[in-house]
Formats: sequence, structure tokens, C-alpha cells
Amino acid sequence: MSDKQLLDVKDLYVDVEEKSILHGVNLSIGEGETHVLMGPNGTGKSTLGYALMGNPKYHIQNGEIWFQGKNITEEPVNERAKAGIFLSFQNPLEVPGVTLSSFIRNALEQKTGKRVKLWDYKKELEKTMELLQMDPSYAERDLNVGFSGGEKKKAEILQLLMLKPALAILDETDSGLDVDAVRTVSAGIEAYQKTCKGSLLIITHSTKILESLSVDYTHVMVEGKIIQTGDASLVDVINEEGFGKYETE
Amino acid sequence: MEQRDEIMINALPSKTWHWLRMNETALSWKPDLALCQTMIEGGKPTEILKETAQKIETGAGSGADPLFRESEEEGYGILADQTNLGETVRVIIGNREEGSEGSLYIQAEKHADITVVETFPAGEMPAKRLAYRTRVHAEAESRVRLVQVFMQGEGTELLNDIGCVCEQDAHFEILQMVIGRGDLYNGIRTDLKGDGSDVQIAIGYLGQKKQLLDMNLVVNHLGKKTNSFIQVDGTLKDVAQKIFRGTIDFKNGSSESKGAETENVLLLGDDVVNKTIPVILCAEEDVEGSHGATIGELDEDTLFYFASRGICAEVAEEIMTKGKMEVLYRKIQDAATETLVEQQLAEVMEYDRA
Amino acid sequence: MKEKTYVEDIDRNIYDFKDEEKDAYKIKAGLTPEIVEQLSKEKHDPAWMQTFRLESLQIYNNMPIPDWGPSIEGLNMDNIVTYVRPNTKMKAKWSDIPEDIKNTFERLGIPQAERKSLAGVGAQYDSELVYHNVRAEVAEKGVVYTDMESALNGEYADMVKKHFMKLVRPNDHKFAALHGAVWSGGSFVYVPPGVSVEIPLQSYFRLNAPGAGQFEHTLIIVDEGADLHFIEGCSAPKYNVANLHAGCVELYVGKNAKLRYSTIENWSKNMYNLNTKRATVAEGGTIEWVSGSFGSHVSYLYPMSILKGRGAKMEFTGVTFAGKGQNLDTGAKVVHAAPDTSSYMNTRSISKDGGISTFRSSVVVTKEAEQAKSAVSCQSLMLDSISRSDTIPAMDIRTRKANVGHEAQIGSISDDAVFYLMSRGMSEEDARACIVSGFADNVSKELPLEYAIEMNNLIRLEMKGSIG
Repeated sequence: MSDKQLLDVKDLYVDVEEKSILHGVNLSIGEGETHVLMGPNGTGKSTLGYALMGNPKYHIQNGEIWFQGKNITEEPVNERAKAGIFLSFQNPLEVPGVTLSSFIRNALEQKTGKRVKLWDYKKELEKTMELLQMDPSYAERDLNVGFSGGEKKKAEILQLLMLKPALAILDETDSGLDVDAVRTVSAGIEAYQKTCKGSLLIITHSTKILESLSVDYTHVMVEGKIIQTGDASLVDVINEEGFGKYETE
Repeated sequence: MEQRDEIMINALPSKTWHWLRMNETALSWKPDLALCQTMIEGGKPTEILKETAQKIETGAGSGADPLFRESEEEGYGILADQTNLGETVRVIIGNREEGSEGSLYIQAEKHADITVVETFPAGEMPAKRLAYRTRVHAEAESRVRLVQVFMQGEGTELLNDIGCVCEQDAHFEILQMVIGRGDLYNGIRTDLKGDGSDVQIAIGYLGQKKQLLDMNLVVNHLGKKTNSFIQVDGTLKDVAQKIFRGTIDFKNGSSESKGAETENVLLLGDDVVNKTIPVILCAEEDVEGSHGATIGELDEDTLFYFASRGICAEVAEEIMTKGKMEVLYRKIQDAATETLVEQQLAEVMEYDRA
Repeated sequence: MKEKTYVEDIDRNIYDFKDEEKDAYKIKAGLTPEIVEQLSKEKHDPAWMQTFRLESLQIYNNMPIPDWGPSIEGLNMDNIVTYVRPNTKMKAKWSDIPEDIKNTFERLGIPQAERKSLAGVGAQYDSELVYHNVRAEVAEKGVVYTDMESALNGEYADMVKKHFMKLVRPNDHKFAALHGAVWSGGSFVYVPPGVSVEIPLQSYFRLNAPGAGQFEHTLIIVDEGADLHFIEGCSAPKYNVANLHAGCVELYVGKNAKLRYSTIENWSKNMYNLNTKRATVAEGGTIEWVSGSFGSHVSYLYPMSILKGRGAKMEFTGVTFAGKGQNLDTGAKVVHAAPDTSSYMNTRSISKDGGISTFRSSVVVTKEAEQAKSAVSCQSLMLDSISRSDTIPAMDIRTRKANVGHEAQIGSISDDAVFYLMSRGMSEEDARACIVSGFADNVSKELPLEYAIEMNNLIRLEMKGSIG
């Protein structure tokens, strides 16, 4: 791992609805690295994602989160986003009256604090949508309203590529997607890795989406703790053996 | 004793506890109002058959009759028939003197199809009060669309009173954008007399500063297989006050009818007053009635999603408010009116439709 | 032409029996200050109570009859004999009570139920509590359960005086004032801090004399951290002369305490049920109302909850069944007067045979009630087209930091549902009965299984129909 860590999670304990889910998570992600977090269902993987983003329902009982050399444990969600953390949602909100295009533009303006140059913006949006093989008419459709599961996911990846965060947390991105969509989303992630040189934390329990990606580190989480870290080959091991051996403890 | 001209308007067909102060509204307007300015662009003028017109009951109710004495004699009438199918008639209403009033009667013949856009611009001071009554008679299988844009200035009061009777398979649609700064008293009553008739009402509003928005919607399902759909979406800021009364009444005999009403209010001001009373009255077994209301600030999940994209709560609220207006804006479908609305929205809130 | 199921009226034979009037004493009909004074003397009221009654009478005379609800024209106060005291002093043991009075309760199944599952039973026979018994262990914990009269004069006199009609004040409405003037009978319950009463306490009313009015007063104080379930059920025989019920229930739920108040109301079809129930809930406390309204000719019933302390909570579950000749105007009211409070209402109503059912509610959220949450859900079922079902819910919200939701549906029995059940072998009549029974389960599942057989009996009887 590089010396300058982008993200440093130190001994994190997180509660949700008075239930203790994370029991001392330690994780470091360097710049430009791609990490995969795997584990059986219900072990706290999504919880980690939400806690990193700062969802108020997830209470940090102990531990710290450091991002770009700053302690962001107490920071509000929108500040973390502006600092460069992105979380993709499994079931993103529908917002009638607000187009996909104007939503992303608003987000960009909040991030940069400046008005966005309309022409440049629209060109970039068009290009990115093409890359993801998204129908251009979706730009003027209300955000997520009437979008199929696959289209919602694409819209999330579109936002990822437009917002260019330093750290992208993708939660079970390939759950419920058809083969074509999986390919597209992978293409999106690849584009992100290339153009933004950002870091990725991909949370998943299935590995289809990782097939065409270069993975630097793989972590296995069981019962709210990361119990094993390895390189890309760990993914193959898990593919073959499953999580069985971790669960008996 | 001093003559206090208190006019009772916007009464609930079915009263409830008085302490709630929602049963009706008292207006202390002097009933001697001048005739307002009405500019009508397009449309076929018609004689108003007083008997037919007067039979159409309105949302504000007969309590408001004293306000319309002048225009009872000299109101305007528009005819929609086979010769002007699909026409859009634009009506611009302006206040005059301190208080003024006007009436419009729309007669839609069988199979007619007409859109009437009524715009209420800010007007010039000292014009303080304006009362306007629109009555619609939609004959069998006709289609009447009424679009109203309210842009009244701060410190003014506007009473908008609508009444409609739908005959068999007639279709009545109302779209209201309440985007002015003045107080609005809004009464809408629709009687779905003919079998198969239906009414769609969509209202969007923004209440700010000390604005008062007082609404009374009544839909009477009389015929069989009648349908009503009411959607009211708005935002209240600062110390704005709003009362929404929405009554869907399934009269005996209105079998196989459906009525649905939804109200969403986003509360953004610390001192707002929001009163809501969605009523369903039913005397018929084979009907489906429903209503839903959601009142309050943006919920946690919504706020979290916006925040995760770097958008703080305040900006999220702005975006949601604009979103509500946008949904209605798209339904206008008349370029001239769209421009007007865009300008007004830009004026009344920071708005940019790029 | 669709086949219609005729759902029978409640089988009232169990309840329509009356004892001959061996009543010791009857006040002259009509309401005058003299009558009220007389009443007060008979009851050995403390001085403050007599004054209170007279003041209430004045308020009553000056208040108008409500004009927004069902008509109560058929009620003539001059004809209502307000106070009837039966032929016996209060007894502690069931076996000591006079035979015919005992029979009444035997037939209604009270003693069996009492033996089995209830911690204590108070039974009211025409304005006086005839029998009281509080189980030893409950009494040991310090739980007090007595009749109101004893409470007024006994060791809890001060506590009662401090709370009596402070929650429901005489000037709230005309029939609260009437109650204040002529109240008689009722229960006083006090649960000390931290005490959890595992078995429900029950109270039972019965009207017998023709034209008699029932004005019992229930005062329950659940102290900090305590827990109580109180069940109220009532019935009356049928008479031609109007009967009036203007009782009052005041509930004080202390900090972090919990009170569940269940009622099954089955007054006969000539009863005017103008009852007032109100609860105030302190910080962290919870009030749960479970309410089944089946009887009466006219009902005005809206249990009200005032969420006074931070985090206070209210839950209301109700079912109302309006049949022939009934006009039942029921619902609930809640006031959120503190932060983090929450309220939930779940009601169902059924109308048939020309019955009129009105759901009337109010949710008020004051400026101080930040983070208040309220959800109201009401569903109505119309069983024919000669009945009525109205829903009149009101919301008044004065803070932005609130989340208030409301939904209501009205409709008839779904043909698809009937078809499905019939395809599984049920007759059409049984299918409809089954669906309606399921519709009322929001309340039936909240009641203890061993509870007065009456409630489950009622629902079953009402839901069973016969083609005809």
C-alpha cells in the first residue's frame, strides 16, 4: 500500500437501530487503488458503505474515519460528498420534476461552488451517456422515475463519471442486472479508473462485475469485521470455495 | 351595530369541530366591487344564459354571490363547439381601483374541445382585491381544460371561484399554478352529473412570507362510472399559511365511480401553518375512494440521497420545490403561457430552466 | 343482478332482559340546581364537589348542542332520570350481592371471566358500584382500584381532587358540563411507580331503569414507569324511552409509563352515547387505545390524547360497525405538544342496512412538537347502498420539523376476494362474512384472548349472515 492513504478506517464500531453491526473495522485505501469487499449476506458490508458516507441512521460508537488526511468522522454527508466520496445506491430515489441532467448539474455546482457552463456540460453528459450505452433521452427524464433496475444503476454510474469523486463506493452494483448491463457498468467502472484515477471500494457478494477489472486488494468481511485481506487472486479462491470456511468461528 | 360585511366562503360540505376553524372562511370584503379588466384573446363570444349559469354551484359558494353583482349582468361568455375544436383562448384579468370583480362563463357544446388559459398578473397598486368567478358547462363528450396562473402581487387578495357541471362523458381538467405573492382564496366545485364524466385537478403552489392560501375543493359524484383525480403539491416557507379542504362526495346512485385525492406539502418555514382536511363522503356501495396526504419536511432517505451527491438540505428543498412546479409546467402546453410562467417563477424563486 | 348477503343485526337476545325496578330511590326527572344539590347530598360529596357540580350545571345550561354531528333531537334531558341507586350497599364478595342483581352479571358472563383472567372487577349497576374486588397480589403491589365515591373521601382524596375533571373540563362541551353536574359511579385506579399489572383490570357497566342516564367517571393514574391494561365493556337492555350515556374517562400516563385502554361498547339501539375520553401522556409514556363500537343509536366518541412530554406516544386501533338505525360518529384526536412524539391511528368502519358511520379525527402538531411523527390510516367498508360512510380527518401542523401522513380508503367487498374464497369451497355468505371479520381484525387481535367472551361473540354474530 502507498504511504499516503486516501481513506483510513480505524477500528470502526457502528450501530444501526440499536443493533451493533460493525465490530472494529480496519481498512486502508490508497489513491488509485481498487478494493473489493466481499462476504456473506448480512455481515455488514453495506453498513460500512453507509457509515463511510455518513448516513445519520448509522451511529459510530467507536473508531475514526480519515479521508485525504482529515478526520471526517463527524462530518455531515454533503461535506463528505464534496470532499470526494461517492456512494452508489441500490435503490436510488425517484425525484419527479427534476431531470437527470439538471440533478447532476446541481450536484456539480454544489461541489465546485460555481455555475456550470451549460454547453460544455451537455457535451460531456452526452459523451458519458454514450459510453454507458444510455439512451440520450434519459437526460431529460425525471430522475429515476419509471427507470428499470438496470437503468437506475446506469444512472448511478453516470453520476459517478460526471462527479469524478476521489473515492467511489459501489454497493452490490451488479445485483439484479442483466448481462448487458453488467458489461456496461463494468465499462463505466473501467472508464472511472482510467479517467479519474480514483479509488474504488466495490462491495459485492458475487463476482461477475470484477471479471474485466483490475483489482488491487480483496477483503473478506464476516460478522462486522474484516478477517482477511489478499490480492486479486482471493476473488478466485472465494469463487471456488465460497465463504464457508470463514463462517465457522 | 356597525355593518360588518362578512362573507362566508369556502365552506366544507360536511362540517367538523368548530375549534379547528376549518369549516369555512370569513372574508371581510365590501361587496361593492367595480368590474375588473378582462382581455380575451380568441374564443367565440356567447350570450350567457343566466338560468343555466346560476345553477352552476361554485367552490366558494353562494356566500360569495354579493361580490359578483356587476358581472352577473355584464360577464363574459365563451362558446366552444365544432367550429373551434382544440382552440386555446387566453384571458388576462387585471384588477382595477381598490377592488374589482369579473365572471366568465364557458359553454362547451357536445363534442367540443377547448382550452382556456386565465392569467392573473401582478397588477398595479393600489388595486388590492380581485374576485373572479369562472363557470363551466361541459355538455356530453366535451373536453374543457382550464389553466390558471396566479401571479398576484404582495399585499393583494384574490378570490378565485370555479364551478363546473359535467354532462355525460364530459371531461373537465384544471391546472393551477399558484406562484404569486398575494393571498389567494380558491374554491373549485365540480358536479359530475353525467355518467362517465370525469375531472382532473392539478394544483401547484408556493406560499412564502406572510401569504395565505385558502382552498376548498368539492367534487360531487352523481352519475355512474364517474371519475375524479385531485393532486395538490406545494411548498410553504417563512410564515405562510395554508388551508386545504378537499371533499369527494359519492352520492347515492354513483355506482362504479372512482375518486382519488393526494396532497403533498413541503414545510420549509419555522412558523408555517398548515391545515389539511381531505374528506370522503359516501352513500354508494360500489365505489372506490381514497385520499392520501403527506405533510412535513423532506424525509431522511431523500435528504441522504441528495447529501450523498453533495447537495445540502437547503438546496435539496429548493430543488424539490422547483421540481413540483416543473411537473405542472410541463402540462401547460401553450408557449405563450409557458413563457409567462417561466418569468414569474424566476421572479418568485431563483429559477433556471436550462 | 348481484346476489347480496344479508348480514344480520347483532343477536341481542342475550342482552335484552331487565330486572324489575326495586330501586331504592329516584330523583325527580329534569335538571335543576335543586336536583343537583339533592344528588350531591345523597352521595355525601365533600363540599368542593357540590360547588363543582353546581358550577358545571350552569355551564351546561349556557352551552349549545353540537351542530356538526348526528342529531340528538330524540334526547330530552327533562325526561332523563339521572340518578338511580340500587337496593344494596357495595359488597366485597360476589356471593353477598342480592340474587337478581347477581343474575344479571352471571348471564353476561362476568364472574367466570373474573375468576379466570382478570385481576379485579368493578361492576356498575345503575349508577352505583355494586361489587368490587381486587385480587390480593395486585393490591399488595400498592395498586388502588376502588369506586369513585370511596376515592373522593378516602386516603386518596387529595390525589383525586387534584385530577378530577382537570383533563376533561366542564366547559369543554355541553355533555362534559352535564357530566360534571350529575356524575355518579365509576372507578379510580392508581398504579404506583414501577409496578407492572400483568393481568387486565376490568370495569363493567349496566343500565337497567327506563330513561336512566349513565354518568360514570373513570380516573386512572399510572405513575412513573408503571404498566396497566384496563378494559371497559358495557351493555344495556332495550327500552322505548331514550337512554343517555355521558360518561367521562380521564387517563394520566406518567413518565415512561404505559397504559392500554380497551373498550367494547355495545349499548342497545336506543342509547345516546356521548362519552368523553381523554389521556395526557408524560415524557416517554405511551397510551394505547383499543376501541370497538358496535351499539348505541347515536354515538359521539373521540378518545383524545395529549402528548405532553418528549417522546410520548399514542396508538389508536378502532373498529366501528353501524347497522340499522345507528348513526355512529367516532374517531380520535391527538395533540402533539412536545418534541419527538408520535401517533398512530388505524381504524376500520363498516356500514350496513342504512347505518351511518363517520370517522372524525384531528391531528394537531404545535410549534414545540419538533420531530413529531403521525400516521393515520382509515378504511371503510360499505355493505350496501342505503348506508353511509364518511371520513372527515383534519390536520393542523405548525412546525416544519414534522412528518405527518394520512391515508384513507373506502370501498365495498372485493368480488375477486369473494370469488377466491368460494373457489376454495366457501359459500358466498361465509366468504363475505369471513372477509368482513378479517376486516375487523385490527381490533380483535389487540384484545386478550380470555377477555369477556362478549367481544369475540359480537364480531362473530355480526359477521354471520343469511341470504334473504
